[in-house]
Amino acid sequence: MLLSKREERLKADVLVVGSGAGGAITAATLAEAGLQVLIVEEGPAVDTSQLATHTPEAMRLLYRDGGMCPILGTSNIAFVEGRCVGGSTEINSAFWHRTPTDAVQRWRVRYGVRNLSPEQVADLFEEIEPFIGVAYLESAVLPPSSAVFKNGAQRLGWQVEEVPRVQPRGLTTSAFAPGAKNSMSRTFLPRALRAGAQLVADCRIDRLQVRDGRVRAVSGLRRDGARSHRVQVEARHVFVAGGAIQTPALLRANGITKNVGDNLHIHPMLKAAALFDERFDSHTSPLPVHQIKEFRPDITLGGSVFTPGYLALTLSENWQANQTAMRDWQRMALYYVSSRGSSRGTVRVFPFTGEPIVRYNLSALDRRNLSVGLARLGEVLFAGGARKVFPALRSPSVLESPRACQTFLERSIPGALMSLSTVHIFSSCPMGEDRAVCAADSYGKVHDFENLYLADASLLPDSPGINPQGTIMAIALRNARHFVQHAA
Amino acid sequence: MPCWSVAIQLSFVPRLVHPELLKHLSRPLLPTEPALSPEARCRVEGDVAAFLFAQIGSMPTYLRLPYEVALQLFNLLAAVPYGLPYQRLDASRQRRYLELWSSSPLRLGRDLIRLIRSCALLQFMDHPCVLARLAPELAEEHAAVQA
Repeated sequence: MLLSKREERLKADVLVVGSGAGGAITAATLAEAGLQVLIVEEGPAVDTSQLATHTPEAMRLLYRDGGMCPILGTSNIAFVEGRCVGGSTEINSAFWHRTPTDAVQRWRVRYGVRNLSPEQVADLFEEIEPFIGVAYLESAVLPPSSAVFKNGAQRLGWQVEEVPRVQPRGLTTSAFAPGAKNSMSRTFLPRALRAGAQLVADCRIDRLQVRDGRVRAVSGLRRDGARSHRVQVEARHVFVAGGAIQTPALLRANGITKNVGDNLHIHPMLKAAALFDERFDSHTSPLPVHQIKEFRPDITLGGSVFTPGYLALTLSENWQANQTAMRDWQRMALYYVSSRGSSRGTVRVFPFTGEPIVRYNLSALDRRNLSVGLARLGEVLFAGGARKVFPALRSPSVLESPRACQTFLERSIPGALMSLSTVHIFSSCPMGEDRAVCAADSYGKVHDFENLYLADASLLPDSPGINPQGTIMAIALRNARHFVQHAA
Repeated sequence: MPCWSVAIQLSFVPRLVHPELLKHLSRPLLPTEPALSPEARCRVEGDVAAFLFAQIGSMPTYLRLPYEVALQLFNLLAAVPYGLPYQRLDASRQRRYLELWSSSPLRLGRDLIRLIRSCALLQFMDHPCVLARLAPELAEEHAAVQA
């Protein structure tokens, strides 16, 4: 990739950096208010209506670093996020949750977020949901992998519910099949463009020139075929919506460091494969849609995307022992334990390359929750008819009875034995009036800045304990409205 | 921003491994089932190596460089027990040497092979040639993406 001498100049009232859940709804809200909005997205514009978004090739096109983003720590954690127009909404499972009441109240009390109530947040969801399209699977196509999960939970008397998704109504296919998600590229980005916003893709913003509490100039590198050139953006206001890693990385690389990148929260996840007597053909059926809420807010159990490749990935921790299990792949499904992480991670910038370094050390409570969660997951799968459960652990490689799962209740699994991943990260630039911990005010304006705002998962003060897409959008809508009323 | 930082952003930092080494690394780790024709097997192994090369290349530079150095060390250190670099060993010795590192008491040694194995298995099992044997309906979907 060659650097051209060409320099491009762009101008707008408002620059929105990032086109994911927060950036897209922010851009649409501001554009509909009559502001001239420029959205700059680092990743490419990819037509995901023609693309199954869980294949290895799609990973290279849509995922940041091809999905090779580790969170470093005592146990390294694989992390994936989107890097494309629409951001992570193009690659996620599309599950939709409203923000729990306890999270809203905690943010108000502990972090000093002003004018935030469960009722106000509910109103925001009431407004977003009809537009974005939130639906349940048609009951006739409920996948068997979800049915056994639900049946197992009901046998145990546990609270289990079907989670709706952001998807077309009447969906009968997997949430990762082409066109199966109402992602930002299908909803709020077209809405923003209809209202007059401009979108520039393949352009990474890397410099914020800051002086006297204002962002004076913004620039980045834009790919243009085999070359790149610098882009200078002139905007009165800047909204950064790059996500919980890229947003603090951009800010810190440009000297904005107070409470930026210090408070990272994640939902560490441990997967398991389960073998049943009957054939599931999980690779062709929709994603399992039931989640067990019995152990909320700290532990959630659910079903995961399935392909033979993802199954092999889960079994690979003990491949020598487990590879013969692949012969039964049509009778298998994938599930997960997700815990609401209790530790605090950091986002820093590598000095020579500007690349983010993300660190998170599992706490003893995290290991405890994951261990208990795995025990419960095994329990519900066996109650649902599983014959064997293969956890993504170095040891043991297989569980063959509910009793075998009980050991995880008695003793936490060492972090070194776990193969962990996460797709939920937040809180690296928390909002609120507590200046000891918060990077931005109650409406996302970075403290001590006049024209710099944040609009993504980094703003959530701490983990909401649920799939965060809806919360990110609701908070971004709230904050964009406030900006229009008071600062535009 | 310093020019070396721009250079790194523009991917001028050279690669320290070749797909051929990755082919030698991944081949012993790939399943023997489903059975594939020699031509299909050769194509899949090549695609797995290419995928690995691309995936490792996608890593942040501060991780990729040390990882690729470690892969070269892995290759060269095989000369200690076997008198030859890993890439020049026969299949049986390659398997034994890989197993030695996979079960190493050192986490770095295990993680070195773990990344190769997990990416190789993901690409192998979701490769259109393999899916055509396992799940023809998925093979069409994946082939369309690759096109």
